[in-house]
Amino acid sequence: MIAWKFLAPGAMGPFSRVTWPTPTGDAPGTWVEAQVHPCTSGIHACEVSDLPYWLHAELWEIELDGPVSRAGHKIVAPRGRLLRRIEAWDRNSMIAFCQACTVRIREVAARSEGAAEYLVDLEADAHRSAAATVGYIAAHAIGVVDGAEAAECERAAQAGFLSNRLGLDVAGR
Amino acid sequence: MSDQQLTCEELVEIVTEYLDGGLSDAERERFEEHVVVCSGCANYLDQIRMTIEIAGRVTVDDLMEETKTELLAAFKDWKRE
Repeated sequence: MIAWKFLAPGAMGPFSRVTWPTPTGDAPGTWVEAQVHPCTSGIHACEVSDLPYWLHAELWEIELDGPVSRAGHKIVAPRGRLLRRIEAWDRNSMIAFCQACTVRIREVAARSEGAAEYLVDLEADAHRSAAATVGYIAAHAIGVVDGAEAAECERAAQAGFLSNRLGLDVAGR
Repeated sequence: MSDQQLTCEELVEIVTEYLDGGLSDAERERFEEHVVVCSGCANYLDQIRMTIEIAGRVTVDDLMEETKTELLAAFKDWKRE
């Protein structure tokens, strides 16, 4: 299965601190294996809908092998290898993501003082391109005003934006 | 979603359990989702990890006698409390 994985600079797992073997030339990175225990171990990755929850510096396409299971906002497999870095996930894309969230929150803030309070924080984080924080604040603010289902819709909109902007091909994967 | 998000105060309280692998799957995911969106807590987690790494390299022989005495006294007081 093909999925996506956010990593810290240098292809390092943000939580595991493991540096992933990266592809060389046309060859994928070597397989990384782990015992599967949904949250604490296993190879964690994202489907498109999971991406907004885990935004980080680098985005990679990853091939997962073995039984893949879902654990909250991520999927887990016994082994995986990096196929290619999604170069389109760069500072410009982070800025564009933040702007798209800001536009949606401005619309909500125009009809709700509750959301207007969050807009100040969101714009400050957007200014420093803190995409993960901006995405969270946007979903939270919409959730406060319009409820949990609307918050989920905002996350879906963020995932859709990322998929379109980064050209993540989900067909047949 | 928003109801399940950890606060920064809650995260600080469970950071040791997180690093020890003592959290449930759901708690661990909430912890990590918070760290992704909160630069303050991400820095805090980095600092704790660094402290553990540096402190883990210290052996008894590395300590000055004065420091050993101070530490032993502190632990005795802590046990009394």
